[in-house]
Amino acid sequence: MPLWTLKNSKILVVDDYAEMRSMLRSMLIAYGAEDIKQSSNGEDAIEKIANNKFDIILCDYNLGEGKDGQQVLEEAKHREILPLATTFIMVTAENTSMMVMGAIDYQPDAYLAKPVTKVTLQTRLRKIIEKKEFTKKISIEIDKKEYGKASKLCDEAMSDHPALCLELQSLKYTLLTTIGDHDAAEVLCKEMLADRDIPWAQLGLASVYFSQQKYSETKELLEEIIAGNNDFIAAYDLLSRTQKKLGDSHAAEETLAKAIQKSPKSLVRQRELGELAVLNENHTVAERACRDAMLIGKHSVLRKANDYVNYSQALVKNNKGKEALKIADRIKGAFKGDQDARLQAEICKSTVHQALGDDTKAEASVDAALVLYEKYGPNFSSGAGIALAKSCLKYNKEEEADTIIKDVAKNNHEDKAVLEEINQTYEEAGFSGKADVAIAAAVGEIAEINNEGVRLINEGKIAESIELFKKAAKALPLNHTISLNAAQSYLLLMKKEGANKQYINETMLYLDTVKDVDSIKKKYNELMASCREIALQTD
Amino acid sequence: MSNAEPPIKLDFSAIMASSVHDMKNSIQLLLGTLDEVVDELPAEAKSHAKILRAEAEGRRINDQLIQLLTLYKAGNTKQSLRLSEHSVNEFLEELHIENHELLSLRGIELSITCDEELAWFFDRELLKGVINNLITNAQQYTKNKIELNASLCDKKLLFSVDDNGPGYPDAMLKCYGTPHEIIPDKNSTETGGTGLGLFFSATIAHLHRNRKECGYLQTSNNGIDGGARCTISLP
Repeated sequence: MPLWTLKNSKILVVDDYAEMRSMLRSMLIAYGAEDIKQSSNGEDAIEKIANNKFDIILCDYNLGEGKDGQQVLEEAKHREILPLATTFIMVTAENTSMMVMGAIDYQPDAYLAKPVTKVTLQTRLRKIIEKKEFTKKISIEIDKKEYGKASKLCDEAMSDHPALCLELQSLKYTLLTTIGDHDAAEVLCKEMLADRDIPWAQLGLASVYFSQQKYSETKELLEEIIAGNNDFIAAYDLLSRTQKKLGDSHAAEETLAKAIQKSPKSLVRQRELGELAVLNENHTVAERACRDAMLIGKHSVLRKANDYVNYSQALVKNNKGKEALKIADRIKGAFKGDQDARLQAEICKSTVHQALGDDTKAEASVDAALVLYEKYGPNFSSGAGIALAKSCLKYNKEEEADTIIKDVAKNNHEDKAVLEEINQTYEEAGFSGKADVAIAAAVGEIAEINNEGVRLINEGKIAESIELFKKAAKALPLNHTISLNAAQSYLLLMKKEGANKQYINETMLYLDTVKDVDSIKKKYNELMASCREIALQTD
Repeated sequence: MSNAEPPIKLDFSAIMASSVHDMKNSIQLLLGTLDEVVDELPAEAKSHAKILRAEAEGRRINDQLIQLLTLYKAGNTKQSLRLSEHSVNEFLEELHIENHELLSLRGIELSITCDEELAWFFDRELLKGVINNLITNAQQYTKNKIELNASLCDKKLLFSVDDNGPGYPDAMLKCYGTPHEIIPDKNSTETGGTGLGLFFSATIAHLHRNRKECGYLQTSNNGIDGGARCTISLP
């Protein structure tokens, strides 16, 4: 009996061959493993990962039809169902260089090449897990969102275990980008790259540049990475996004088309290609990409009703109105109970009917959409709102259009792209100038709320400012500035009157709604940091 | 009826990839099953020469497959490696575990010299193929010793496989900067083999790059007691 044991480890084995699974299983049992679950495909693996907390996952890269191992890893990380503390090992059959390489935060802990024999398990798996143990306490803190503690532990570990430098740096990178400290992440990446070009660290630096909105630098670096690593798909994805930011949507589409050729099975990639092709009015590409996005997404939690809408709209552009209608009709059934999806379905149907020349049905769909809008309030995506307003304008429902547009503008008063889209919509409908009035009114209203709130704070009336922002946030849950201000008021109140659990939770909730918004990340992090500081003191 | 059928166009790289994938799974099952058979044997039979031989041949088929696929790709497309940082000592220990029993049955002692803290960037699977290849070569010529060394020299990792045999013939003593300098010769008598293994090793070394520098392979007679030494230098 070996001293080293997997006795208390919860393990998942993913392989499409039943024989392979049972072989790996019996090897693991020989090392004391008792709790071993198995999956034969990526979809099932994702589900098991979502419902269990595994210590070790052995996942074959090649899983036949459906998702491959890298996609399983990426989706699990993206959905935050795979703790950093879990050891994820990619088992590979072919020469590893043929596989799709993941970005810095989508790397497995190790690759294990077949044949995996008992000897390999004994030597490699053991070392991989031992190594993971060193970084585990840091991972656990990051998983718990205790970033300050994690950072301290990470720095200590770096000086104690210089041999683990790269693992720790990579962990620290994850930490820094999670809390949005891009400048520190930049310094870290440059340290990693001091002696050698490591593709995933280079990509890490490129993503930092991207977050810092240094798009020319991002592009330059990515082109260099791709020149040296022709198959680094994640670099193509980011390059495409960068090119789009630089205003070159044609280059962006071309780049993504290359990535799709190499790796077609990604929902997000197909979706982005579809969106770019729509933008470039490349209807054939758009139809194919949107269809593939919809099909790949069928069983994925990453799917959106918008994938169906995009496909339907692409079909309309290619004069396939009847097919388009069928797709629009499927949305309601595919997204049961999702009000935003229902609204999008009605809006989509109305545009398809318009294209087919059936104004009666088109208007009926607009009315159905308006009922939904009335009922479920203004918390819909800006895209859906603008599309609905457009249809309203067409059927002489100007008043309804104005209401919707105002809501959209209030929720997105700092988003130039959304405001520009509103302008365009009105101009195309022959109401130029009218949008400006609506937008100005909306922006003014928000500014007034914010000013009033700040005034209350300055006068020391913090409780009143909280009430104000709370009310505003309830009416405009998608407005980032208001959410931030609501959180900040709570923090000020706690500084003044002392902390309590309820206030901390309220603050966290407001901050959580804006955690993915790049443009306000710095402010978010400041508030998040003081909130954590207060939270730590109260416990 | 007399018309010749048009030749079928094949995407050979796809066929190759899919065949290698299947074969590697077969090797996995083969070696795994062998492991299970060995488990059922009494302790004294576990290290039986025939069993060790079967295991070694299974691994050899695997190495050959990697070699085949790598050389095919090197000749056809731009090949990129999967460079990650590995503990060099661990890597050599793994090779030692896989090889030493069979070698010792032939009276050959396999040893490792490596700093335990040493870590470096390389493509683990490919480099394993390379070192296994060099060990296979060495065991044909050595008297009774093979040594695996790894050390850092001038910001490069040097792997060497040394033996205490007669050493390389003069014509083979050289630094192979690019694989093109070794052309596999099917009738080569001086190497005793096809030279393919050395070609593969030099190719893999050359594919390892950092900034502007490339890896290389060097043969010398600085092995044990003037025996052969094959060095792989990785930037």
